[in-house]
Order: sequence, then C-alpha cells, then structure tokens
Amino acid sequence: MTTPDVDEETVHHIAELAHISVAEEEVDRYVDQFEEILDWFAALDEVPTTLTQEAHSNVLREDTISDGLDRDQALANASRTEEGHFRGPPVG
Amino acid sequence: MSTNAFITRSELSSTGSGMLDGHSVAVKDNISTEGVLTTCASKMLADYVPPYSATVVDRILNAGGTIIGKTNMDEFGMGSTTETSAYGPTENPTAPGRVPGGSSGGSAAAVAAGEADLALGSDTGGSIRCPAAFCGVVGLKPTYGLVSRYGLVAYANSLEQIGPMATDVKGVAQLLDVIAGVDERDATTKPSPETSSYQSALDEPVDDITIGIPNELLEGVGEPVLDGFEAGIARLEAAGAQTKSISISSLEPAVQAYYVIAVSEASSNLARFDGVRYGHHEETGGDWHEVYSKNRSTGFGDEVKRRILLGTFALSAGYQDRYYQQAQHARAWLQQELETVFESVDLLASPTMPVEPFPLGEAIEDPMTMYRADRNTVPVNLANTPAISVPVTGSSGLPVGLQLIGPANSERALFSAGEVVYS
Repeated sequence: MTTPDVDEETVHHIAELAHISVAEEEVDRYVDQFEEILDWFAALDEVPTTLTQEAHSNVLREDTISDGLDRDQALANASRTEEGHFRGPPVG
Repeated sequence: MSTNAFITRSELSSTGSGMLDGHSVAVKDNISTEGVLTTCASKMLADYVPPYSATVVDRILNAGGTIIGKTNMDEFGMGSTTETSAYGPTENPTAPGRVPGGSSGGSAAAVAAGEADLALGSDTGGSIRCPAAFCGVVGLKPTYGLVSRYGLVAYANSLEQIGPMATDVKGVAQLLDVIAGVDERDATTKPSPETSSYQSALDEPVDDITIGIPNELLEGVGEPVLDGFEAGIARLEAAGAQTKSISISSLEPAVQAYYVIAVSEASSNLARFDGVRYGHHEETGGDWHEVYSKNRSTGFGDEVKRRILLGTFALSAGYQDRYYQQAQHARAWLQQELETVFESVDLLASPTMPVEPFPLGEAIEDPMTMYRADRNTVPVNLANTPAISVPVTGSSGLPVGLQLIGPANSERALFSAGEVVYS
C-alpha cells in the first residue's frame, strides 16, 4: 500500500476535528512531518492478522453511595461559573 | 547548580507511619496532589490545583513518606528528553550539558542529584526507564494493573503505569511495596499473585535463571552503550545466570504500533482540555468550536498538538483500519510471541536506550529521532509486562541503562537480577 497523500486540506480537516486552530505557517510543516511519519507507519502493513475477540469479564462493584467532590471543589478550577454551574461558550 | 528538576516545591507531610518513615519523595507533575499545582508541564494546566490526590500519593503519605515537590517532565508525558516542558528543560545532573531523558526527567534528576530519596514517574513507552538510564539511576515500569492510575492525568491509558525510581534497586522495591495493590477507584488494577515483599527479593539467587537477549534490540546500538550492557550481562553470568541470543520478529514493528496506539489514545484523552471546567482559557469571542480551538492551540505545546493531530488522523474515517487496527494486530502478535518466549527463558535483557543521553537541544528539532530512540522500551508497554532499568557504565563514561524484562507479575525476579547487575 502506498502512503496516503497528506496535503494542506487534510491538515485543516484534522485540525477541525481535533478542535485545534492551526496557523497557516504551521500547515506546511505538518504536511511534511505527517508524510514522513506515515511512511514510517507503513511497516505495520506487513503485520499478520493476530487479534481475536478475547473473552473479557466485567469488573464491577456494588453501587453504593460514597463521598465525592462537592460543588465548590468541582467548580474551583473553572474560568467562568454562573449560579453554581460551569459557564461554557455559546453553542452555534 | 540548579538542575530545574522541580516545577513546584511544596511539602506534603506524612499522614501515617510505616515503610517510608523519614523518606522524601518527589512526584511527577502528572500525578494529582490535592491542593498542590499539577501542571503536566503544560501551559494548559498552569493554574490547575486538583481537588483530590492520586491513590499512590495517599499511600506514600500514609506510609510515612514526605512529598517534597512536583517534578518536571515532557508536556503531558510526550517526549524522551524533558525538553517539551512549558517550564524549560531539566539538566542531567550525572551528565551535565545533556538531557535527563524523559518523560519523567525531573524525577530521575531529583534522585540522581540527591534532592529526593525516592521518586514517582509514569511510563507510557519508557518514560521511567529512559530517564533512569540517562541519569544513572534505577526505575521500574510495573506490570499493567499492579499500581493504581487513579489521579494520573491520562495520556495513553492502555499503555501507562505509575512506577518507582531511586538511586538503587532497594529503594525502587521499597517504594513498590508501598504503592502496589488493588484500588477500587481504578478498575484496571488486579491483585498480584505475589505474597512476599518486593524488598525481600533482593537477596534471592539468580543461578538457575536463563536470560534471552533479543537481537532486534541490539541493532544499531553504539559501541559505548554496548560495552556497558555487556559488562552488566557478565555480572549476571558470573552469578550463575545462563544467557542466550534469541530473535523475536514482532519486536520489529513494535515502535510504530506503539506510536499509532499512543497518539490515538492521546487524541481521545486530551479532548477533555477545552478550557471550560479547568485549564487554559483565552478571553475570546465566538462559538464553542472557535473558543475550544483557540484555548487548545494556545494551551498545548508543539509536540502535544502534533500527537493529537496524528491520533485524530489515525482514528479518522478511512484510515482507522489501516493504522489503528493494524497496530492492535501488532500488539497482539507481540504479546503472543512473548508468551512463547517466556516458556523457554525467564527474563529478557537489552540496553534500555540504544543511544547515550542527547546533548541539550539536539533531539527535539527532529521528532522522528526521538520516536525511533524508544524502540527498546515500548515493547513492554504493548505487552503489559514489567521491566526495570539498572545503571551500568558505558565505555565513554556516560550513564547507560541495562533493561531487564519479565512476564506479567515477575517484579521479584527483576529485582533479584537487577540487584546482581547493580551491586
């Protein structure tokens, strides 16, 4: 298999998915680095199919009430709060 | 001379008495300490004060230990040099002018410089063993599930474990005795079949063990490192251990598989940092996507952003089967081969790092140089098995680490053999 083409559009698309803004001058650098790294990842193409659906077991505990964080502790690190809630940016 | 080993100095006094009475412990800054800054060496968490402590922190304080500060590291554990820290690099106290290794470089430097008796690091792909090797100290990556990760800020949770570091094997065993054990707050912890203490393993003989040396982990290793490694192996042989050269094909693509899995998990784990509930926040307008994107692009450093973007790519539609799924096959293949190998040998040995400590500033310019250098340490993270790095001296006089790897729950055997190499 050939390494997928990474271009400026790919980098913009990934950055959008990852919620990270990327400056124009960084885009070319990422294109070059990603191409080099994906070339290196091509070694995985030859790996034999090994993974099987193993039997897993759940690790559960009794659902009992115990102390957790109180409201003030939970809000202590937030940049903005309002009436005991986190205040986030507007949606849409 | 200051090595810049600590990001925050803050004394947390013991809450009990026991095995760590009178001992000072340095804690890596990605392990939560209630009321004390926990930055992960990132601008993203520059002001973050956890409202609770990690289980390992509680256990240390209950056992009589004093926590003297939070140590420098590569940002979020992503690096092998401690140079990606937002708080500047740490200098290697054992090899001035060189990096201390990473990502737990501050913890290794603190014990090497005598600033702490013991230290905690975390190891996702070698982050305890690499700095132990570079600073000439001992470090252990425990079996997956032996030590609670509750309160560890996650980078790649299927790979990482918190583990002990010290100037000698005894200190590492002592700290493991304190921190190991099931924790109801980490559902991936498992009871160890071990009933004796780890410290008591140091006096056990190694004369009936066989140690395999995988060719794949010696390829391209420099002469000074190889000389140090061979001197350590000679000690094991003199103590009666048998050694033999072996080959394990699945080691070849292990470092690539590691990076695919690590960056994929990182892209998911680090999605939580949006600047709303905690973390770096820019006063900026716009909708939620614009605000998150701004907070994340200014809060994270270059290496962290590179790994999140790569992980997002590896998990994106059309590429998941090619990268993430293949990496999972590589992980299963390695686990299968190692199980077979451990039927005929007790332990494996290799140089911990194929290279000597990099001069400060050299490796960080080129991410691929850094990634490739992790070849010998990442396999045990994929295999969920333990490994210890013990210092030996290379022929150029710089510190070199000898790595011993065992099957799951073989920590006592690693301490017995490690003590022979060390003493």
